[in-house]
Amino acid sequence: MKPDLSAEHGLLARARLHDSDTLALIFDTYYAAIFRYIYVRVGHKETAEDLAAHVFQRLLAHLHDGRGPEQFLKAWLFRVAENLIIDEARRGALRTHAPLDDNAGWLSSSPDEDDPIVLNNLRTALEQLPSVQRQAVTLHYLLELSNDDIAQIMNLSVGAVKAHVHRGLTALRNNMSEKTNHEPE
Amino acid sequence: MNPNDDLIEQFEAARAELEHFPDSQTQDRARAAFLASASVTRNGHMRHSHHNSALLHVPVMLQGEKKMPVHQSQRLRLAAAILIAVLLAGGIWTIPTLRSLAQEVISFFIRAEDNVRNDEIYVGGTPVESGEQPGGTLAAAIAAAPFDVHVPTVIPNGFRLDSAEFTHGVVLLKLTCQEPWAVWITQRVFNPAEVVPQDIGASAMIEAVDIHGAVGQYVHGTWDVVLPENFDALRQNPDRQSLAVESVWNNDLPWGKLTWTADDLMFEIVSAGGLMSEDGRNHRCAPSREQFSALANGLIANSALASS
Repeated sequence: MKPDLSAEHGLLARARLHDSDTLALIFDTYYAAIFRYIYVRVGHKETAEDLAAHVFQRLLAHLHDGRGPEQFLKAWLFRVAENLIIDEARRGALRTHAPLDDNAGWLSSSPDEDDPIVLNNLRTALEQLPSVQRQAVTLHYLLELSNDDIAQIMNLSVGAVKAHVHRGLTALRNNMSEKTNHEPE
Repeated sequence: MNPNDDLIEQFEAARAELEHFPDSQTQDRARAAFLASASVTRNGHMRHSHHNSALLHVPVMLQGEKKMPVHQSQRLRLAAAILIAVLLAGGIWTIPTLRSLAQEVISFFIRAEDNVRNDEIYVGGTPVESGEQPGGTLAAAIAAAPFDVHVPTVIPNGFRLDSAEFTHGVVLLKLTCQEPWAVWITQRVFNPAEVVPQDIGASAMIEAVDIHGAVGQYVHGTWDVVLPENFDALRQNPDRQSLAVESVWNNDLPWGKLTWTADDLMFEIVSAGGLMSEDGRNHRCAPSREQFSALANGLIANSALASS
């Protein structure tokens, strides 16, 4: 279910009144996408579950305090998710004393045993991209969000989103092709 | 873009794999926790404008200024010990009846109007003896309690079960780490009419924690008591006296509290001590939310352990 942005405005108005049906609808509408986005980025189910829960807890806290999003709920949720991912990456870097390199690669050394193979390979490749390209490509090709939605999430113009997606995909293709060429036969 | 591009095909395959996430169990669990939190938030919000501060005034664990100089920390640690003793002896277990709080979802916490509140602490004099010294054994507490005591089967690294006792209707298990860090686990018969929600700062977050299907309410942070300049002199006074202080809620302090009900019992896990120690407030003994959760999920009814 993908409500349009005008519908989101009504959802948020009702959510601010702590209407439980509305909050349930918001959760049912966005939880899976938020979870998947985080999971793609961190590659660890339990971490994704924790961070996704934090995203929605933060929504409740903001609604409670009257500081919640006025519109663009989906973009707001993804931005919170992105911030939590970055925070978690920093914590991970601190825990392992590893250098913080563009927030990437911080959990890739210990993926779940039952990680999906194709997704895992793509995640590794995506981690080589600059963060803005990684985010744009992930949202476009793995989450299948529209360029308008991605522009809202990343606070960019639609044109800039298209450029980042294109450059990211080109860089991905080059990196993967390079990797294939260097693999021993 | 070439639609037959290998890379595009890989994305399609990855999307197909991604469709399996999150699994229904994860989503159901998250949904239940979210809606429970929403209910807690809603109830807290509703009572926010009506709450009677006198009824909701609860004992506070003493903390010092966040950036206090080291030379102040020892005296404050002593003060903390005194206060904790006073709280233990002077009615931490005394809970007034407040039937209006028995609602569909019990709120164990309630947000204050802002992050600053006025408190009253007691200083000086000799701590009142409770008459029942802590330090008993788990077996003795199990034998004394009129309910099925839940035994910790998971203990955070660095902690050990220090003592257990049953007093004033409450089983108190004390886990200690490096002195003075500790975690208390309390268990008592659950009576919704006797639950008084604990006052938390306006910026505090109430998080839902799954505990074998029950929804626990977890809050990280605590009230930071701002002590007066003459506190050192006041605590030397042979007569105990009350002291009006100001407390500031701080979400960053590594103290937490987890409360939930299960099996007709009410459980609380509270981190205690440590804030006054020289090694600061990010000590390894400060339990994380995950450790709170593991500890809670590791509490098993003694009867179940005995029969297994």
